[in-house]
Amino acid sequence: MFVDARQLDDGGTMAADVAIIGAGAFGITLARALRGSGRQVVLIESGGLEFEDDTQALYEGVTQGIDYNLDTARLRYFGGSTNHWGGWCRPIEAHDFEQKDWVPHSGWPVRREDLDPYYPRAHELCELGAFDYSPENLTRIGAPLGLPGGRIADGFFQYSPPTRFGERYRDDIADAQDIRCLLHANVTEIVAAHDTGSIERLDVATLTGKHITVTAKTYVLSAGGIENARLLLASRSVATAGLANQNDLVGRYFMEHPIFGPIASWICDAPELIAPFYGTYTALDGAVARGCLFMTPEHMAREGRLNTIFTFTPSDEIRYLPGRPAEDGPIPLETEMLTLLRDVEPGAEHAGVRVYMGCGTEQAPNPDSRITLADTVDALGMPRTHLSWQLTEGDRESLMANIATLAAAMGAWGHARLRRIVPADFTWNDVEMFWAHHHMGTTRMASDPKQGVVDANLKVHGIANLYIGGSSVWTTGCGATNPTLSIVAFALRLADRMRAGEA
Amino acid sequence: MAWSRRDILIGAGLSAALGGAVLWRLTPDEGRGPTVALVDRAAAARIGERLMATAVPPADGNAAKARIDALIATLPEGTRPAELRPAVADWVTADFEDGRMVQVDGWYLARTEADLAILAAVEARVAA
Repeated sequence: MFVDARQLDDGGTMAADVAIIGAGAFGITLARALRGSGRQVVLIESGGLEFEDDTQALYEGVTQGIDYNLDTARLRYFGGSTNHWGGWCRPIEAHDFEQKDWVPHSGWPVRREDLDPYYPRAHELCELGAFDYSPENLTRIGAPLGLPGGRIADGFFQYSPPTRFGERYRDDIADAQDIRCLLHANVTEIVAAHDTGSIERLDVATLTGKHITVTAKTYVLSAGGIENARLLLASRSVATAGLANQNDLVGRYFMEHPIFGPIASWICDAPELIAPFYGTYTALDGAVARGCLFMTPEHMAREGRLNTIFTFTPSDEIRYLPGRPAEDGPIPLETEMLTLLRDVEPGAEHAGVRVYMGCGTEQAPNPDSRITLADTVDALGMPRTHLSWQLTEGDRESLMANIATLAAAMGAWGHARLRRIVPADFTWNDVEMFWAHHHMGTTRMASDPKQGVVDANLKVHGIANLYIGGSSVWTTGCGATNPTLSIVAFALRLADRMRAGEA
Repeated sequence: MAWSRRDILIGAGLSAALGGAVLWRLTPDEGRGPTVALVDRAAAARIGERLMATAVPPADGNAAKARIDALIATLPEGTRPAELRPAVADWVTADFEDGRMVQVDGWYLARTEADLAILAAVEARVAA
């Protein structure tokens, strides 16, 4: 059932077995999966069922380094950021979980096999097709490019409708006898016991001035990749450095996925070799798929690179006009480059195609990219977020090298030449790009408490009854793979552990 | 294979323009050196001009010619121009496979095709 916290008595208390902070993809999935488990759940959501300006304003903060809109990069109402999710889905690759010598701070304490049992169920919740991202499945809708050299792999995303968790699963939450969803309820502090070894209660406030207390046996923080860190840091009445921050890790290692619109274009003399699924949404057994290219793990290991995922736009015809001055064309030297690929008759209407290419690219974990608390406070009196974020020269070099690798593979293929659009000497602060709004790393996962905030089971190190969900637990950026599907899979895994009495 | 006087004159002319000393081993039936492997020499010349104008470090015609000479030297004596194009295609593929690339206006070219484009630009200048 839904309960509006603004209607509760000021100073009241609510008790449950499990208190979940944040009703986004993780929180809704976990609460829903605990129905009938014998546990009473309270799901605490800052917003209401629809967008509200005053609640969204609680996200405002201060940035330093990379310019970033903290208040528009996520949504603060029931359903969370799934309310503006694009729906792109792929599982995290097995190699992404591994420790990589060339990526400092890499290596998750879980493996892909730990999530595999949950991905098919996560697929159902995200309203996707069969959980099959194999190359063989891709061949059912067309021939992959199969670029030579073993450096570039073909793959594909599946598209969720996208599932708006707050709409799609609203009735499930409303009808559940063992779930109370507290709306307009802002957790202002997660209060630890004096020895900080467990959580005692949650202090909750409404924007109308009501204060209530929530107690539970188990607490789960799933308020988003930025807000998870902010709330832990702001929970300092007992642990003065912030909750779970005894090793100064909370808020560090912030990562995003830089997205480039057209980062490259390429010409191809054999358009029949470019399967339609690369450029358009294509039906695949009831699912919607779209092709992409990415770096192979072997190549990344050999060259010491991060990953980049390249996507295509639909192709344009190129007309061959020999002798045309290069500056007259949409792209310098494009006509001339075509002559390196094939014999064409002057004036030929269908001499080749031009394909624009976008990409999402990986950022290495960087302890200096971090969330701290700002000097200013929000309408609830909570310190606002301060994000100091750096993308490094290494991140830039990796992206540029991956573009060159793709150019080399296309050249060796024999049917294409690639042109980089982004300037060779771009800097992260002046290049035209946008963001995936994937907030990762701020409560990273590691077996060693000195290396991470949560363990392999999402339990906070050193606190017996606090778990964290969402992409804040990501240890690395996982290429540019969109996190929502895996967030849902992790929530299902935690639910199973809770149901089994293991959490 | 015996070099004809005409071959030597053409080769010497291009070599003089580039300041080099090596003569083509090919029989340039069409009055050109290895740029006969290019589908459209005029188009390639425009690429070559951009390479010479903008490449960093600057494109060096002599170095380009020396690299092409070295490749040509691997061909059997008397290779005909018509037989050159497949060989160039192989060299271009090998360049891409091994990461020997040159950038011009953002385009990634194989070292060999860039060198041929530079030679085409030099030829066009000589002919002009």
